[in-house]
Amino acid sequence: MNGSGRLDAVAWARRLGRGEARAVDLARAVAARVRAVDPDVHAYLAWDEEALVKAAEEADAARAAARAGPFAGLPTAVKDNLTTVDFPTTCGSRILEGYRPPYDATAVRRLRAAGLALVGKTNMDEFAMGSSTEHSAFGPTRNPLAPDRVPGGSSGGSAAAVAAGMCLWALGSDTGGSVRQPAAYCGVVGIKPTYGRVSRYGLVAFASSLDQVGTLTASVRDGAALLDIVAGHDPMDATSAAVPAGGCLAAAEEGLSQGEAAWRGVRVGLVREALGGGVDGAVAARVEEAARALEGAGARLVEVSLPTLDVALSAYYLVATAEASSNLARFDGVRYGLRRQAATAADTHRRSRGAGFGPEVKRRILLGTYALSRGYYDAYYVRAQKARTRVREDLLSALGECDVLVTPTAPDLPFGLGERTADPLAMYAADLLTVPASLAGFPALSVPAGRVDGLPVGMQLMGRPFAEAALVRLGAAWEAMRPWELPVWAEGGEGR
Amino acid sequence: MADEAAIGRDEVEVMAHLARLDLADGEAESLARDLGRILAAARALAALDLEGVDSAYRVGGGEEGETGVWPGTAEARLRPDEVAPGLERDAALAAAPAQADGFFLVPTVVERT
Repeated sequence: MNGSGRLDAVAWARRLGRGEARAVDLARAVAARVRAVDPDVHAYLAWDEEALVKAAEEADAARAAARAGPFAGLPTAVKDNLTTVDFPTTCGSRILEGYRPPYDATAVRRLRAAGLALVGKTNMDEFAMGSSTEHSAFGPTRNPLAPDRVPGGSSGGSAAAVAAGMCLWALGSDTGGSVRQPAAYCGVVGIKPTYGRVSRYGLVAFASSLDQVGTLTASVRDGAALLDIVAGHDPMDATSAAVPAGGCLAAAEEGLSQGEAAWRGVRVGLVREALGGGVDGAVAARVEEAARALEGAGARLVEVSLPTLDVALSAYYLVATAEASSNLARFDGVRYGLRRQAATAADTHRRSRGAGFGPEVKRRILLGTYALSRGYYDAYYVRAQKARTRVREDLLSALGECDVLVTPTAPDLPFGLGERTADPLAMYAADLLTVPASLAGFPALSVPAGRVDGLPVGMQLMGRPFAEAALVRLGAAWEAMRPWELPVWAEGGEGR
Repeated sequence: MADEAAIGRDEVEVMAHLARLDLADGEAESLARDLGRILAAARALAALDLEGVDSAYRVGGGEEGETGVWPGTAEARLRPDEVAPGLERDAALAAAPAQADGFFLVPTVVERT
């Protein structure tokens, strides 16, 4: 599958299907890996070896009886903001420490229906608010490729678990880049689907108009296969799209087998502003090299402009925090979570929230409250929402001149642990290139595009709404052209 | 856009009151500094010409070919209001910090006079 010979999830599924391996052995290998590596990486907030092995045994039995789906038994990780009945769901927050939800998120239910074996719940910035996973109340996750650096965030636990072989693939969530940026920092693949593509039922809300469940995987076709499993309309989420889903794996396989030919005649829109100021020159250079390789394969490079790129970040932080200030009102110490009892209900709310939320969550709740308050609403929230319309128009206009937009995923390389925790603006800057697709609700894919000083660089491909199949086809073709290396972790190397 | 993005400690305290959020000693000062810097960075929004641009209010529920977010307001897409099974009471109460007789227990909300 890739330079290191490590098998991706789809390759493992085929081995299982042909009877060349057993899910239970795979589960045990993954568990051994978690035991060996996670004390250093800290990708998991909770995991359960016994349940993992049992689910794998059930998958083996179902497969022997020809009742198993193609991916049954594959060890899968889930970000800790998706509800699960068999693991706590904390969102990386003290306010939900030990909380056991009474229902599974729709995406989790679909994983179980496909027979996947859950390893556990992955670490994240508290309530998905962060770009480094350092804002977790339970301690940071380290980047498996560079342990003194962050894995990105907020889905840093999921990205690190995939990169370090502590699961075969993982779900995350992306509000302004929280799947794509950690994928880039950990050298794996991240897909943020179109808004509405995957149900948000059971995804603990941060910013409801932006939140979307996404995938973190070792290969593009793995992302496509996992997306096929979780995507599709859900009556439990009023914003879920009534659009036929599926077909992504087939599209990715087509891209893989076509390789360079898949890019022939494709108009690749290079976003001018995304390769200039505010972007690390070495990162931009890797993506420019990738673009030239695509041109060599027959793609046509088109320079396009996103004039609102510089204001998109501000618009994003105002809209997202405004929604967060409303969404997080539910954590009041009454129905679930931490309670700090006081004489009155109002004081109990204040004390519980003050004790349960960490500094970044407080900062964002207050920023959002400010943006929505009388006297500032028009100047901040309404202006941000109008700017959002402009961002979407800019993206549509750019996509009118090309088939796919290409930028670096993150403007920089994985930064050092502790480097940005005291500087919120520096932390927010990591989202510069991922927020436009979030504001517009468009799908985007991050794929590895080489390294700088051993650190991975991600390339972002953005497409039209509901065009995930086209994106993964091109992404898989890129992978066929430039296979990337992942750490070797299991016996691997036996081909596909 | 406000000309002056500087935020005072008193303003932060008003927001914290509105958000029902206790702040620790010294937290209001550092938050005032952070919020001031974040809002100052948002000044670029003030320079953007947004004359005649609609707000992106409506989100989701897209049909094929439609985009995830639309500008302008439109009516929400609602499903028929039909009774369906929901969360059982005991399951809903199971994670409550305090409960009794099938109810959530809370401190006094309205004082008896």
